Amino acid sequence: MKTRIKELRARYDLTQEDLAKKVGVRRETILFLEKGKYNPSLKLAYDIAKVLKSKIEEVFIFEG
Amino acid sequence: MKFRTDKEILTEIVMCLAWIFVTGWGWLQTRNPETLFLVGMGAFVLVESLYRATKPKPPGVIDDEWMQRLREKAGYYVFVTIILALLFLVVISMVFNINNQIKMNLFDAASFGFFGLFSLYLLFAYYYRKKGIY
Repeated sequence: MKTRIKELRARYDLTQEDLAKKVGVRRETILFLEKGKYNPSLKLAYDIAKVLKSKIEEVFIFEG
Repeated sequence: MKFRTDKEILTEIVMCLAWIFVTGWGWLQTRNPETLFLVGMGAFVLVESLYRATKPKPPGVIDDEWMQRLREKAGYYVFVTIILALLFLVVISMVFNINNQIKMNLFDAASFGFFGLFSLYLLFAYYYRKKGIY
């Protein structure tokens, strides 16, 4: 799975820490999400997409 | 001076008081200097806890889904490792020619552990299948 979290974060001038605080997780969780080493729960994916003002499928790109 | 009254610090203080009470009671019974040392240790931790109670609560680590999944995954591998180790011991006790007494003890302990843990696993799996996983 690829994510556009980093790109969208930059667009809204958010640090990993800011995003983590807004969705109620640790900074490491955002880090691992960005690296594609962690599949988020539906709730977390929804929360992140909401903060980044995008649709879930625009933030998380599932490949095959 | 303002004291914190959250559950965490209160539990710590109550545990310290209980420790001092129990070790103090032990010391009154025995008049043993080592026991007095244990009372002193409790008193030291109590003073330290009271001091920390005057400071604001430090921000805790968020127990988010990453941490939960980490625990689940690590716990699962620990479980599988223990199950396999027990199975390995059962096989060893059945196959190899070792002292009969040791063989029986090993077989009993390992098979009891194996079936006990596996039954618990099935029980929890059934429980969470009914309850759902959030």
